[in-house]
Amino acid sequence: MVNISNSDEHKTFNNNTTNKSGTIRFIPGFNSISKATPTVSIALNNSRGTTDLSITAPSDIINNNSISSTSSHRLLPESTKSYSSLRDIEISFDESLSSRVPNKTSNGNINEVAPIEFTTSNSISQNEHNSYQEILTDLLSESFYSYTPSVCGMGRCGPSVVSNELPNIFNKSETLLSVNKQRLTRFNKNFFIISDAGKPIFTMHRDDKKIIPLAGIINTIVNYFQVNQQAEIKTIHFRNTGQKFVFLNKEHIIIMIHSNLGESFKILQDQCYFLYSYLISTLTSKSLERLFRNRSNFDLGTFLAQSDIENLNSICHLLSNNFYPDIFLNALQSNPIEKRIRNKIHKEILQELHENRDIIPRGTLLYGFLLIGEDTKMAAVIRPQGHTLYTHDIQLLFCLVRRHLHLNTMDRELWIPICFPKFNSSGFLYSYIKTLSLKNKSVMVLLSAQKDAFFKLKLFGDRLLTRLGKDSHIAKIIISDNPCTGFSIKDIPAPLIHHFIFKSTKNAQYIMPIMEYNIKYQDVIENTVSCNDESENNQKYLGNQQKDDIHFMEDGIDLLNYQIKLQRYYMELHNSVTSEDGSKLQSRSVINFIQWDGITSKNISSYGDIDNLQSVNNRRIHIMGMVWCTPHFELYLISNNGVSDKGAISSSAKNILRWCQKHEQRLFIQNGAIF
Amino acid sequence: MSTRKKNILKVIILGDSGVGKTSLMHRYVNNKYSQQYKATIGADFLTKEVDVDDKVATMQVWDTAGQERFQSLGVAFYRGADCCVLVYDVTNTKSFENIKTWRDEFLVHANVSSPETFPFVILGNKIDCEENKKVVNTKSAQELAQSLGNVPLFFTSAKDAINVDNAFEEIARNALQQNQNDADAFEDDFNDAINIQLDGEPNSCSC
Repeated sequence: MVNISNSDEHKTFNNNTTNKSGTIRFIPGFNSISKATPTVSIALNNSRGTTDLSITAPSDIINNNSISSTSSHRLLPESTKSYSSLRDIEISFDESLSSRVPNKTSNGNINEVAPIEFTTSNSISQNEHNSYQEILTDLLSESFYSYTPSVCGMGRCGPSVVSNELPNIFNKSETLLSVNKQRLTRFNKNFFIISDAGKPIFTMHRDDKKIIPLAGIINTIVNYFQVNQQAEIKTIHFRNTGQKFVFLNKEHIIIMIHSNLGESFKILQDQCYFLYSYLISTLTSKSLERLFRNRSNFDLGTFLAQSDIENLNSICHLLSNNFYPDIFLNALQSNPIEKRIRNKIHKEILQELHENRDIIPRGTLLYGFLLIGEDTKMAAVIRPQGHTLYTHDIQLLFCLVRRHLHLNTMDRELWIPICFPKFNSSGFLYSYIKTLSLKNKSVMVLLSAQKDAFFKLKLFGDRLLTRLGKDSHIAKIIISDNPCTGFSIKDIPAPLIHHFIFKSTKNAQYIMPIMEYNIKYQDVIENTVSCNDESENNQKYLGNQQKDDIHFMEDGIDLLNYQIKLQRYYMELHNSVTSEDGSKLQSRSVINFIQWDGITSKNISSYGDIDNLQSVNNRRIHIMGMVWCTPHFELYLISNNGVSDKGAISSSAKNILRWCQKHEQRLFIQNGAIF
Repeated sequence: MSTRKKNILKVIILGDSGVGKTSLMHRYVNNKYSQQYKATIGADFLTKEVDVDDKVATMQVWDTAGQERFQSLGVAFYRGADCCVLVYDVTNTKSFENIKTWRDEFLVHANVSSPETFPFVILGNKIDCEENKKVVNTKSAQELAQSLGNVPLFFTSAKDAINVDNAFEEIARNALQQNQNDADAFEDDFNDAINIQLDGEPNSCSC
């Protein structure tokens, strides 16, 4: 039985009565022929209305404990795992090939076409999922404060002490530092960009010998659905392990993200788009089309510059190993500055613009930003009347700035052509990037459409800087060498709250307190670094094996682990109020609590069974999270460990809301310097 | 992370079922041969580093299934190939007659930049077998290769490892050449500045 859910209607088709239905079989396993060179086979059978897709793949692509296999003549006996049911694999794809069908608009938007969800049988987990959603929806609709939290985690434990450390309850999580295994499966997340001829262009974690055959498989899977089902595959979801494979098929480029980290389909798809947008931002869609036109054998992987590969790599790390809420919030982080001073900055910018009309005539400068800190928090915006850039495009630009901050190449001035895909995907804008303070990590970015405007923008930038430097208040914020700290959670009358994110929908900006974590209490993310020695080994390993990845290690393992945990908590909160495809469960206001209960140990192995963990160093976890979405704002918060009182949390949430609303003009950039 | 220096060459092997495509590939990549016959289902993907005339590249070999029922994905498999290898069995006349069909089939689906110059290589496999079983004579094979535009022709045996390395070296050379030709045909032009008038109508960015 195949369930096909359409956007406007729900139908159930029987296999025998409709052409649209099909059985989809997955037969994963090892290949028998060579260990040195893994081969991969895809079997396709399309006769008599049934369609079989079986994949024989090295274990690198498919986690063996997630699925097991039926007997197949291609399997090695010792690697054959018994396997009974396929019901936990869900494949969904779009039916219509809107982007490929002529006479239809190109750039087919996934949201416009009817999604079809294939479930291979009536699975139990599907039912559980449904009932969970029903319960959640019921709870939400009951009242504004529904005092029945949804309970996640591993059951209740005894009383506990409130602490501000953030334990890790996601026991299955394995970080980038778990280096015991050499296979690609050791990574929780991987990103693949391949050409539509099946040639690899970029992968985050590389192993060329394995990636090249994998590129062939990814290509075949995507094309299988196009050829046989007239459909675009969107995702393959292994329900019992949470593994997801999300596909994005654009002209000439196929992007696939594999993740175990529990993001929703929508978030992973947005990330696919983000990688695709990066390619456009460095090439323009026009060049991409020109490169592949009439020669689909083009090897874009060797064409991309070193810096492109590095930028893609740093974006992938941002999306998998860092706390980067910008994409799922679809917002930019604002740097809180006293209202009076921010207004003064904007006024000075406009004044300087006015006085320099001879140097930069109107039309030269298109847009500008003053950014502060490693995470590119916006301090000021310069923009023309009636125009705004898309958040998505600005995020790409800021990723570039981030990368250069990381590289510490910021004593130089940069002039970088960058294409903004949403604004105009066929041409470049030019960005002048200048560091104002190395310690403060403050940066000025000026955008122009003119290729030769570098010296004009440089001159203007220098003069603007001189002017801003004259005001001691402004200088202190932007140019001084004091590291800018932002605000702390302690500044806000919100007891028991560990960390929060507040997004102002109107401004498409968000704020959050600086990250404060206690290194001493930092619980080791399982299977990684449990003592200094190992840490050194890991560092050494990274030094030898992953030199490419070393740049993101500068922050230190503690901060990194902390960020990964924070990301997981916020991801669960976000997922709890959005459905898999990203739409809000309720159109208006939603409030939801999540209670994470559990025990953690210093020596949990990455796939350790939680029942066997009572022995050593048990520490109880009670963490409560809350998400509150309205048309005007979104508030996500995480409590300190040891809190399970919804009343206390919601009253702190109200305090945060009041505080944010009271200081709105300080926290967010309302208009900017508009010329 | 460094950029990949080596080009990837996509090589696709076509031919009737049972002519020895998979055996040839495994002889070349792994230097192994198995007497046992297993039909390829769909396609196999193998990689091999090649070094021809001081040029290095990574060959991505797409070993397709010869059986007709697996052909629905042809388009996907053929797209963007750098070289196409056509294999027949010297003991099987039909497989030889089908070489031209396979070539046409490939050209229809592959969407190559110039069909006239696209590199093919023909392999007559199984020359290890007894003389009386050989039904495709050398002369007609040479004539066919000639008529298809001087396509390089090799008589091989995957079983006895005859001529396989030579053949694949030629394949790699042709693929590299094809790749190079395509790269040369492309002229860099990244003059894609946008013309923007701020005071005029909003240029697609009003939102």
